[in-house]
Amino acid sequence: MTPTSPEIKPSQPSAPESQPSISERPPKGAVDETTFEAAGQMKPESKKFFRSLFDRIKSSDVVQNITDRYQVWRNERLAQRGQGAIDRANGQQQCEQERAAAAQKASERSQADLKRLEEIMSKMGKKVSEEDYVKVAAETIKHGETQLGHQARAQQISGQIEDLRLIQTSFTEQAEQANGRLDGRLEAKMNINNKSIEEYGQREARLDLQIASNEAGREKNAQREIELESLLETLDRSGAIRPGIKRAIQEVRRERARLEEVQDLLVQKRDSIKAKMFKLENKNNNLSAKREQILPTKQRRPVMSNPAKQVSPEEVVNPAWVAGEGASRDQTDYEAILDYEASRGNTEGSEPEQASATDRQSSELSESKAETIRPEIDRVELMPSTARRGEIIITTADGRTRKLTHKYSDLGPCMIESNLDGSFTVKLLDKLTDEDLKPFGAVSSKRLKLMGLGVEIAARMAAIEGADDQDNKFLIGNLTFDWNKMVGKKSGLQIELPRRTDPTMSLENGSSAKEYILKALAKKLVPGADKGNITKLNKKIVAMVDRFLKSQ
Amino acid sequence: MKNITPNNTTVQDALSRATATIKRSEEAVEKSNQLLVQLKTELKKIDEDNQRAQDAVDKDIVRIVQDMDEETANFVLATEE
Repeated sequence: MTPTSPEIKPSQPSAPESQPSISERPPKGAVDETTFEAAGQMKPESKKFFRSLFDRIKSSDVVQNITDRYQVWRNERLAQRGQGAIDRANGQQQCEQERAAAAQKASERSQADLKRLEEIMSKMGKKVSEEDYVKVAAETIKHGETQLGHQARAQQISGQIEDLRLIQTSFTEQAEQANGRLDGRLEAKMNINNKSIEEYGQREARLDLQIASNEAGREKNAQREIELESLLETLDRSGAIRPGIKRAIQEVRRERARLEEVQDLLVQKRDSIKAKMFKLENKNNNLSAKREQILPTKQRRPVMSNPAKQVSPEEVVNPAWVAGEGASRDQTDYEAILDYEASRGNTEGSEPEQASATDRQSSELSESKAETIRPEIDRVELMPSTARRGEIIITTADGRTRKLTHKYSDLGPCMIESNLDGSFTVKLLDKLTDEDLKPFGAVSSKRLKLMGLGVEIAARMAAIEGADDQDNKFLIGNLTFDWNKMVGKKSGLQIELPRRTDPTMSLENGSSAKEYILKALAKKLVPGADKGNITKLNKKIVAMVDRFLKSQ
Repeated sequence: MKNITPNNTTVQDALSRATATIKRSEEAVEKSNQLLVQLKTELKKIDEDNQRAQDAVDKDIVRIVQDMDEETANFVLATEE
């Protein structure tokens, strides 16, 4: 394995701040062209900020790059920047609201002034002139318009604030997901190395056997040599047999020498294998340390929001998963890895093992779930203090809880149910029935998504909400969910609902549905300048989409 | 010194044992050489497979990193003053 990836290049050396034309450029070497283009649209101050974020990325090593970028994505300044934008918008909104209120007051003042004028004039036995009425009316209209304008602007800013919040949440979630995915890739790299270490180990064992066998042979030769030499000493010097024994001794010596020679080669080979194994073990140690940096082991373990009911490792159904041996974080199906496994005739290689670990867990979880008695619902907590963002909790009268979460450690969307004995049962989203999910329907699918429960859960809920009068089969959320379910995580063909898209949005017809899926796939699969170009998609994938839509 | 005749069983036995040992040694050397040749191919394949699989993962890592960098740039862009 070479540590250097051609795609990740070291950044250019930092330009001195005294050269604004250069210092404003984003660090081109640290990011790819698309990012560079996006950075190109930034204002100078933002460019400087962006550049400073990526300044630390200088290593050409793929793994080091990951940890460097982790520092970028988790940078506190990014969170502050997002909050700053929200705070500014809030300030603007407040300002607009104050102006609207001021306009309303001015309008009311004009009306009050007119009334007072009417009273004074009435006392004097006179009437207010038409001109004054017109003037006050004009003022009122003007103030009303001003008020409406400021109110509209405040409303508009309110939308912007919501957008900013979504952007901030989405970025945080995506950074977390990216970290999870990268951790999974690092784990895959470790598994590949482990597989190689295992393969080397098998060869080392074969060498050990041969070396031991040769050593025994060498000793046998030595014994024969001594034996023949002793025999020779006992023979009459003129005996006709002596030359024959001498020849035999020479042959035994020659064979022993040949054995020793080949033995050296075998030992050298064994040493080189050991060195390779040692090197890979070191790489894995390094990878493990890097994984710890981007996703500490303790964060890979399940953490419950209710501190009184923390899940201990012993309570978790599959200890292998807790130990990180079988974690599966959206690991795509690398052809090379499969080839790698297939080349050994081992279909249960590292990747399939990981998948099966999760499947096994899911299956075991489902079995235990089947025994759980369905509790009566007492209340639904939308964002209770015990819940984190991306969770919704139902608490039953007897104190048990059912939590729907978009992410439970590495498992992804699932429901966690507390049992009476204090243990927990976890059921993955695709194993949840509509009946399981219906109680959470107290919250709309749109709201669930806003609460950070993710597209998959929102799509399921949307499907349940619309199940009774579901004439339109091309709901965008359902399409996304069904497609992803059909292709599976390992295919690398799963798509994401575009950001800020309502999963209940319906597409006109099959053609629109096809276009939606193809566009999402092209954005994900087509590289470089053609990114997003559906004509560049593999025909087999297009055919797969057609088959999927026919089955809908 | 004791004289031994050529047809002495002890000599014949010793020569037979030596011949058998030599034969086994020849076989062991041949087997060792075959193993070395075989290992050369197999180790090369293990190296190549490891490299190929690592490259595939690295490629995926690059994709994830690029996507996330783009997200970061877009975030910075969206939160401009």
